Amino acid sequence: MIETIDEPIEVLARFDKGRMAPFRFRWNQTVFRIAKVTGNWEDREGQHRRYHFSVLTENNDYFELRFHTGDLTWILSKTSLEA
Amino acid sequence: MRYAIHVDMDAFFASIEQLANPRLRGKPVIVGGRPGTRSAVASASYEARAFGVRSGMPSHEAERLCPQAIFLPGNSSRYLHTAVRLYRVLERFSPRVEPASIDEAYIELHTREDIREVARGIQAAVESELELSASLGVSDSKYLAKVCSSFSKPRGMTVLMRADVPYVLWPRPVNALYGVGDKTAARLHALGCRCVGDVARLSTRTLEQEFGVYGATLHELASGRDRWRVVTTREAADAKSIGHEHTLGRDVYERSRLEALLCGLSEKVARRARRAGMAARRVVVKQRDPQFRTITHGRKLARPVDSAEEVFAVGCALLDETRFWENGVRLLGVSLQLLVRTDSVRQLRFEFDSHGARSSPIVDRIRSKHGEHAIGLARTLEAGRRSRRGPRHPSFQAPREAFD
Repeated sequence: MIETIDEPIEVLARFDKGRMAPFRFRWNQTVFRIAKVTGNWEDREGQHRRYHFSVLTENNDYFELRFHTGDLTWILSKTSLEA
Repeated sequence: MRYAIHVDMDAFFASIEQLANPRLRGKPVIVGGRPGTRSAVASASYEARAFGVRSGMPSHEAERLCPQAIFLPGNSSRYLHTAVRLYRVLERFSPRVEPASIDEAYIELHTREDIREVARGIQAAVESELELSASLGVSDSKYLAKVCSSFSKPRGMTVLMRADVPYVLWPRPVNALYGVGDKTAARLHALGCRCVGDVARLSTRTLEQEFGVYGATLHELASGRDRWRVVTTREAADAKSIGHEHTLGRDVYERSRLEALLCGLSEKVARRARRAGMAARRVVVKQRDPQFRTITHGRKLARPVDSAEEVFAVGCALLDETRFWENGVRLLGVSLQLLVRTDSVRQLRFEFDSHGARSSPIVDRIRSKHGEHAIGLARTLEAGRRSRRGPRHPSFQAPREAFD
């Protein structure tokens, strides 16, 4: 099931050839290594863009992360606990 | 030769969710409201369709048919982002692309090549770049392309030229005609029409006697004739109406709650009208009671309006006139019609100086900068539908260490 989290997290991201891709993040004192970015999209919150990423970790856990350009924060949006 | 191709994405929303989350692949996925709410299925994966689940079906019905289904709330910005990518892929094959909805589009092509090969190329490009499948309808008529894209799904491709209509389209049931649902089909059955060919063989006059002007359209469609043409976004005419409606979580009998909801809907449609540079000369309110009886009641206005306050005031007057809401309201909608361009309104020196009209541009600027929920009429808070929370997230703090 998909669960909404909406908590700030720390993220390491790679900026390359005009693209941004997260590759590691820490949530609840646990570090998750991202094995694959399975999707990305963007929207706006007022004048600021938000970049969204759906990712799979090395443990095959599913997460959705988003980057707020307004205050440069990363948020863990959702996770899939079981399906 | 000129061709029209209808590109219809297969289970679009559900497929996007399955693509992003491999745990969902091979499982019945339903995008839409959760069971227990009054919402409907927006998209169902083919695994869910195997149980009889269909788009538009109430969520509780979908759950009854497929209790093991995984319900997802949906993500409109993600789907829209994917749709824009789809249109960009299609525009590589022809500049004449018409987005028909978020998950379908038409392409007009002029080519001497084998149209089947061209269509296969489009299908392959969509699949390789979006990792999503599409079904295609190919024809020398836009309407027939739309009709036949559903003949073979998913990943299907059907070619139906006008000359083949008597062999391919006529033996199909009347529901195969575009726009013919259960009610129209029942009326056609009463006329003795079981298949499309029966409709084509009826006289236009007979159909017009039963269906009015729509009868002639039905006859044209059954005969494989249409006046449809591919209209690119640039060529598209201004919207004819702007509407928004909301199905309530529970039936509402209190006038104050209803007005709060009406106010929120007025804000939404007025904002959309202003964005499009339009103002409305007619406001319509739609109400549905707990017994599913629906009425729409409208009023033509002396001068065009585009502010939430003005739309809301007319809406309240319409509620007073019908008093239909006293039976309880299950669904409420507001629609702006008879739209005119705001610049032409100003040229004609209509007065545009109400408080609402003056404050709207300021409200629009605040929303554009800080988000749609940054400001709104206090009255909408009575509905308890909007939470005015401050920033949810603390300011960014650089990581203390690069974690490993």
